[in-house]
Amino acid sequence: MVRRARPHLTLLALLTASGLLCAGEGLKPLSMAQLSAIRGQESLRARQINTSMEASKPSLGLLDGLKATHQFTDAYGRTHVRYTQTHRGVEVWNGNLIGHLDAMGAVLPASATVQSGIHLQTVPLLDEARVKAIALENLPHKEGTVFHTTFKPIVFPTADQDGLKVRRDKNGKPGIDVDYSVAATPKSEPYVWAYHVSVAQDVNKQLASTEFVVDGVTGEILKKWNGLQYDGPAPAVGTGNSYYNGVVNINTLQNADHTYSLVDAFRPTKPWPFAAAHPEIPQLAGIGSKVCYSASSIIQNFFVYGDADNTWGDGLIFSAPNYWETPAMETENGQTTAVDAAHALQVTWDYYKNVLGRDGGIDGQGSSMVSVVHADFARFNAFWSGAFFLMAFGDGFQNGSSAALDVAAHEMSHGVMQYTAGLAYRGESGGLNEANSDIHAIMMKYYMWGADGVGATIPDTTTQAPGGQNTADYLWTVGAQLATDGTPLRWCTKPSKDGFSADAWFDGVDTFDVHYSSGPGNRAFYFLSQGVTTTGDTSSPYLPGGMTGIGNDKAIKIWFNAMATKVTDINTDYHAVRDAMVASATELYGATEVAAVKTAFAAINVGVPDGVAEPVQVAFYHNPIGRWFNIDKFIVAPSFYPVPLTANVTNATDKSLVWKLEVPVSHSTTGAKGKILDGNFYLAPNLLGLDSSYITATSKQDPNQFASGFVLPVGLDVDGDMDLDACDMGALALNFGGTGAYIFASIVGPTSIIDVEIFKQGFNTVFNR
Amino acid sequence: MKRTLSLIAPMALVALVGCGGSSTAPTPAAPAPTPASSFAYTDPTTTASDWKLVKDATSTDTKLVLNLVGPSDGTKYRGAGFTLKYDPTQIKVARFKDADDKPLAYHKDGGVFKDIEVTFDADWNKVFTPVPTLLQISGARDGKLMVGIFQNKDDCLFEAFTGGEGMGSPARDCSTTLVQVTLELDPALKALPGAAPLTVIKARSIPEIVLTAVKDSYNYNVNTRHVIDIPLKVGSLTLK
Repeated sequence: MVRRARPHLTLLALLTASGLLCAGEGLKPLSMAQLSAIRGQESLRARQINTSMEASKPSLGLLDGLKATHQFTDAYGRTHVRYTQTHRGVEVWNGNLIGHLDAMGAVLPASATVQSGIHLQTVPLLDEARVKAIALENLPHKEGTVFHTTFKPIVFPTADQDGLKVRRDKNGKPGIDVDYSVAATPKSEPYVWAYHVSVAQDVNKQLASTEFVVDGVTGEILKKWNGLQYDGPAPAVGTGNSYYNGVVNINTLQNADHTYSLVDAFRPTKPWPFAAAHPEIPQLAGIGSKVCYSASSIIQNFFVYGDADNTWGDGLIFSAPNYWETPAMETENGQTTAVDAAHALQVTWDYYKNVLGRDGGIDGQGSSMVSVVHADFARFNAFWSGAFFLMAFGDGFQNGSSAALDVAAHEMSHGVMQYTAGLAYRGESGGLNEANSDIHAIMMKYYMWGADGVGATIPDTTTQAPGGQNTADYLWTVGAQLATDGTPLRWCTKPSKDGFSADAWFDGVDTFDVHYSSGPGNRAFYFLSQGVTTTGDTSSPYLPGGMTGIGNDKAIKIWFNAMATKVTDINTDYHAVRDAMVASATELYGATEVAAVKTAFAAINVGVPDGVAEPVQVAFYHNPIGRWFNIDKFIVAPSFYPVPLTANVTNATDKSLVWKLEVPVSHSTTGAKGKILDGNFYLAPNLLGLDSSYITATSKQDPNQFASGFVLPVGLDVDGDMDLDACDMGALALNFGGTGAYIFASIVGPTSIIDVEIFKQGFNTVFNR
Repeated sequence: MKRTLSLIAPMALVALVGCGGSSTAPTPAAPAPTPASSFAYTDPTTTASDWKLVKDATSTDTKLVLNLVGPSDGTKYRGAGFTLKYDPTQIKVARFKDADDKPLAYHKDGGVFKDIEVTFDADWNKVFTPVPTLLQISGARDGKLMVGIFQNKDDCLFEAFTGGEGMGSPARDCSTTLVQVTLELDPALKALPGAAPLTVIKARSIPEIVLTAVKDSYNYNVNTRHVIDIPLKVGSLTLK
């Protein structure tokens, strides 16, 4: 039921005059005056949402509390409040809700991912010091200096517990992700008390950030992931000589001594969130987004850029001769990259505000940003650190800086993502997180080079792209400015041009590095905006007839509305995002746009347009061996016995499959460890192998439909008697049993759970099917 | 006499129908032999140092539960595993089931072997409780039933170097039931009465003394570390 509050009279007049109250198709962006009026009541409106959410708790399946975390009012005058579910006062992992109030004060149905049926009564037994010690002991970079940790008790749904992780790395090499695999035993209870621990380290002058979920009672690590998502003064306006963007105006700060700092005090309204926790970095205190360099490492000894005449940079590639050469960073030449970063982040802030109605930067609350340039001469990447609310830009690219417009927008969008949908940075959700950043990066290029960064719409053409490259081929890429030959990092029109990314969804795309599983998301957005052709790079075998796009402006507003107000599950996958996009298009526009969303996603093999039959689908069977080893696309193939290969084919009259084994390029010198014959995988006798091969199951009926995973050849004859049997587990228990030796012991320590689970998986594959 | 007569009549009829041909009358089909309906298992004869598979009291006519029992001579061990060969056309191996009748593994832990209580030890780079404790597995294929249950003796190297017990769980007396397996008489197999041979084709254990270390001029060298063969005796099984 929608409850209506009485609108403020002045606001009512404004909205009536705008025609907002008239029946019509979709939502209309409000004028600045209307938005200003509504935002003036945001606190009141948020309380109204709170009241409604409290009343809705039983129907939402909530047994306990809610904690409001963020609120914002969008370009349509709707106020949204994000909540975290709580149990006995403790935050519940991935219990996320959004309450909505429309411009007229009507409460809209809430969006929710609720963890239901929590009945935990006990309290965590481990203290903070012990839990931190566990985290520190399990850092992937043990050599680094820990300088920052955070610690938060949570209620953790054990269904989200991690186990052994596999992924294709940035070189396309498949294998076990040893750094972020965890070894907790499966839990029978649905929820446990746990702690979320974030650790930031200085590792060889680089920032490393590792996140943990630690069982509050047993101390087991339940989840582990990389926290980096990479890739009295007076405000003043300085002149910046950038490398990538020519001469630009940048907001700066005039100090009492009449010098200037590269601080944007115009946009933020709050200090950097960690300023209070780090008084040892006073230069990062105060309100204002700061562009810094560091004298010794990426995260210590910060210096905010300063200048005497408020004219910054020389517009040339940074040519410092030495690593961490502070004087070089301070020069006009060293300022150039800082100008690029400052400019890009300032205009990205405005893009979110003007086009998408997010007034308040990354967290929507106006918190000041910190970015570090010249972060590393060797590191050619840029990243967002959510744990430290910080962006960094390295210098390793051919053009000497990663602070190009689209890269900066990409990184800042990771920050916005953290405070909206919060998609987990792994698997399909991680690919979508990356796609989200790429999509906003490309829209930023259209906004800057097509509309001069002014106005509330994204144009479909540009006039000011560098070198006059106002073509879709150039604009729909990421990172093209970083290389001297213009080769981009990623192509949204056809992501597989990079040699690694996926063009469309298939079962197994989640095993890609997130920068490559983003491909289908990037392409779906391109299709939605620009359409699908019937031939060439922008055609799709899943939509041979093509489609017409709805343009950049509608597409990005549908996308952002979905991420900001619809997606609440941090593990959201491609199919769920498609559903959120449909809901968003329905809300903002009408039938044409909804149909376009469905068709664009169909073109990446996700869903179908209305009235079209579901296509053939190929998927690996869910691995029944136990939740800990929940990798369906990872076939552990032991020696001595043929391993039957099976996958599930639906919507097909002919369910037969063609299996193909492919040796990754990185393993080409050693070759495949086995062969496929009559639907079975055969491993050469007793080969030990950490080198996986790709294995693909393709539908004979529809060769466009396939599933792709890994096969890991393992020698499980641990006691070395040229047979595989249960006695080998005894040798495994000894860890160093005979000639068969070990499985993964050399990597992860003495007879770890990884060894045991790999053994069980391989054993069960041949003896318990 | 009645039986004989009843056979003659159909034979005559067949002969009449077949007249005009040169074929002889077909031999009447022999009555289908009655499938076996129960197990008879005799425990093996053993010595105090033998391992054995003995019948459990919960066995029924059609379900034979075998207990793996270790030696009674006081020797301690850290686990055991074996491969039992059977004729899958005669009998089947069965999984144990939980309270909801959901199939579990082919074996049931007797509870003798224990988890290792690994403690957090930063000096030895131990991860907090990642070390699996009691390792057990079972499976069946091609007439072979395999069972293994072992205590994870992960720190044997440490133990050998220090001469101490290390952090591992101690060896156990094995003279009681260590693990159970089940054989079933499946009516669908229509197995005939007679011997149903069971053969142990492999049996191994982890002894109490896992290894020793010898120090030469420069290094410690581990000179013993392996699973050992054990004398596992199985009784005789007859289908009746």
